[in-house]
Amino acid sequence: MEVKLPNVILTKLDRLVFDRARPYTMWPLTFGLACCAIEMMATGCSRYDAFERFGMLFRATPRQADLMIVAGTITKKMAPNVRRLYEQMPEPKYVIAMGECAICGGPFYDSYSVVNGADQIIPVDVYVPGCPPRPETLIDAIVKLQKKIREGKIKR
Amino acid sequence: MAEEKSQSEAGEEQVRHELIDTLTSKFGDRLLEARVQRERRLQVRIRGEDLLPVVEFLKGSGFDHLSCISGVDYEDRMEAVYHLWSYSRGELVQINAELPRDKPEIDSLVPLYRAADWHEREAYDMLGIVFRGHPNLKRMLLPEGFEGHPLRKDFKTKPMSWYLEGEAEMWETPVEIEQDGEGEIETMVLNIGPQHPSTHGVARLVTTLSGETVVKIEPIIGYLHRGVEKIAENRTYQQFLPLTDRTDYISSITNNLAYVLAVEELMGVRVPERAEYLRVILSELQRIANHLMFIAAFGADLGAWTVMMYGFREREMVLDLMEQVSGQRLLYNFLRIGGLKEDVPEGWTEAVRNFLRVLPERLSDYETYFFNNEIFIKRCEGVGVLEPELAIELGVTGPMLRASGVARDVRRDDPYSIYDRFDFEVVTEEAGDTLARFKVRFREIFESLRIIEQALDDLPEGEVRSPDVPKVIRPPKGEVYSRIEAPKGELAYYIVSDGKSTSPYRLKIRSPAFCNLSAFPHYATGEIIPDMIVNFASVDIVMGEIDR
Repeated sequence: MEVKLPNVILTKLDRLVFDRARPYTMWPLTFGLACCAIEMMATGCSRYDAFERFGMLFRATPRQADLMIVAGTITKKMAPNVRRLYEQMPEPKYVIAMGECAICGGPFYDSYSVVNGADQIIPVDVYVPGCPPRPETLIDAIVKLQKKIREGKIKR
Repeated sequence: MAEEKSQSEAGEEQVRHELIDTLTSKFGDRLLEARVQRERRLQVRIRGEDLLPVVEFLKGSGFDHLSCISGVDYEDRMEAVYHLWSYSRGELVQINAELPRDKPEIDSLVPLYRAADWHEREAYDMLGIVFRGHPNLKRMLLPEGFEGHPLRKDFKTKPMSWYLEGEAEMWETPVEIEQDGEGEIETMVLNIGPQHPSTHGVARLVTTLSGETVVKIEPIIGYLHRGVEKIAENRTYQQFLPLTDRTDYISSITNNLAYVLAVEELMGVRVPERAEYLRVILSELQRIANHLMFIAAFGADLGAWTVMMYGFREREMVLDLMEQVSGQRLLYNFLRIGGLKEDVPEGWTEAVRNFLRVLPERLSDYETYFFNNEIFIKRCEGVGVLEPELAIELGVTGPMLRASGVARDVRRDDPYSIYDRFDFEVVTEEAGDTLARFKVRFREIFESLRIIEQALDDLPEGEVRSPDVPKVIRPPKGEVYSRIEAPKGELAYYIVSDGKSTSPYRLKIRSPAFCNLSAFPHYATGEIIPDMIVNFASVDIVMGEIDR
C-alpha cells in the first residue's frame, strides 16, 4: 500500500541527524607512528590548518576519539597495540590509512618486522597514497571520508 | 687556520704511527692486524678474548668516546666491531674482534664505557652475540621471547600471528610496598606509551613512581623497528638511498649525506665542488628545519601550543626551499652517490638568501616568547641536569653534549665534505639542564645561517654529479665508518662491502638519538613526573632513527 503525503520525507532518525552531524565532528586520535605523522602535524598546523576547520579536534585518548589516522609504518611489535587502540575507540569509528606503509608496508614491504598494511589488523575506510602524502592529499582523504559517512556508505 | 691545520695533521701523523707501534709492541702477535685505513682512521683486528686488555689500553691513551658497537656475520665467523673515538687525539679506531660463529661470546665493555650498555643489547638482539658480564642483556628492538637474530645471514622470520598472541603482556601497573629504614615506600609502575601524545612517536617508558617522584625509568624501544639494516642487504647501493631518508625523517638530507659519504669513501669517488657546496647548504637548511621542529614540539610538550604553530610556520619556509630542489616536502632523496640528483633550479639561491634575511627577524620574536617567559624558564631551568663527565661516558653527542659544556662537533673535530672551509662557532652552554639544551639548538640555527651564507658566497659553477660513478655500483672489498654531525648528534654509517655484490654486505646505522636516549633515564630520575616529559622532549628523539 502506498501512502502519498505532500512534503514528507521518510527516514530514520539516525540517518537524518547523526549521519549529517558526524562528518563534521570527527575527533581523531593523537596517534603518530612514523614519518607520516609529521605531515599529519603539518596538516594541522599553520599554513594548512586543516583539522579544526573541518571540526576535527585531536584527542589524546582513544575513548574520546572516533577517527584513527594510521600515520606511518605499523611494525609487528606495535601491531597488537594498534589493534587495541582501535578496539578502545567507541562506535562508530573510522580509519584512514595514511601513506604507503599503512596501505601495504611501503618501502619496507619485505622487512621481517613490518605489517604489510593497516588493513591486516583493522578495517580501513580511506587509503591515502604517498610517501608521505602531502597535506593536501590528507585533506582530500578527510573530505572523502566525510562524503562516505554522509552518504551512509560505511556499514558496521 | 691553514697553519693550524697542517700542524695538527703533522702531529696526527706521528701519533698515528706511535699508537700502532705501541699497540704492536705491547700486544705482539695477539694483534692480528693493525693498520691505518685513512687519515684519522685506524683499524685493529684481534681475537675476541683479547678485547678487554686492548680496549683498556686504548681508553688509557685517550679514546674516551665509544661511538658504536655492532657486529657482522661472516658465515664462517662472527665479528664484534667497536668504534672508539678520541676527542683529544682526533682519531677513530675500529676494533674487529673475531668470534667463533657457533658460540659468539665476548666480554662486555660496560665496566669501561657505560655507553656500551644499549649498543651491546642491540648487538645481542640483532646478531646473538653474548656479552659476558652485561648487567641487563635482553632483547631491545624485538619483543621478548622472539627467537632468532635478524642480522644473521640464516635468519627466518616469525609469522604475524605470533606477535598478536603475545599481546597482553605489558599492561599491568603493579603497586609495590617496600620497607625502608624510615618507613614504608609505596611505588607504582606507570606505563607511558607506546601511544602517548608526548612520546614523539612510539616509545614506551616504564616509569616507577614514588608519589610524584620518578624512581626508575626504563625506556622500551623497538615499536618502529622496521629492519632497515636487514633491508639494506637486499637492496643495491642506489636503491637503499630512499630508505636512509626514512630513518630520521625530520632531517633526511643529513641521513642521505652520511650514507653517500660512506659509499663514496668505499668507492674512492670525488664529488664536484658545486655539489659539495650545495650539500653543505642543504644540510644546514635541514639542521634549521630540524631545530625548528624541535622548538615546535618542545613547546607543545610544555603546553605552549602557540609555539608549535610558530615553529611550523618557519619550518614551512625551509620545506618550500627543499621542495623547489627535490619536489618533496619531507623525504627528499635528493643526494646521489657522486653528487646530487640535479642542479638547483634557477633563482633558488636568491630564495635562500631571502630566507636568510627573513628568519633572524622571526627568531627574534622567539627570544621574547621563550627567554622573557617566566613559565618557560621556571619549567626548564635546573631541570634534568646532565653532568659533562657522565654525558661523555654515556656516548651522548650533538646539542645534548654541547649543552653540558663540552665543545665537540664532528663538523670541526673530524671534518667531512668541505666543512673545514667555513667559519662557525661550536655553540655550548654550561648549565647542562633542559634550558641549556633548548638554548644550544636555538643558537645553532644562527650558526647554520652563517654557514649557508658563506657557502652561498663561494658557490662555484659547474657539474653537480661526478662522471666517475658507474651505473652498477660494486665497491671494492672494504669497510668504512663515515661520521657526520647530524642535527641530533653524531650520525654514522658503517658499511661492509664484500667486493662482489652490488648491495652492502652489512650496513649499520649509528644513530645519535639512540645514544642520547640512553642517557635520559640517568638525568630524569629523582625528579617529578611533569618534568620527565620536558626532559624527554629535550632529547630531540625521532623513533625512526632509534629503532631503525
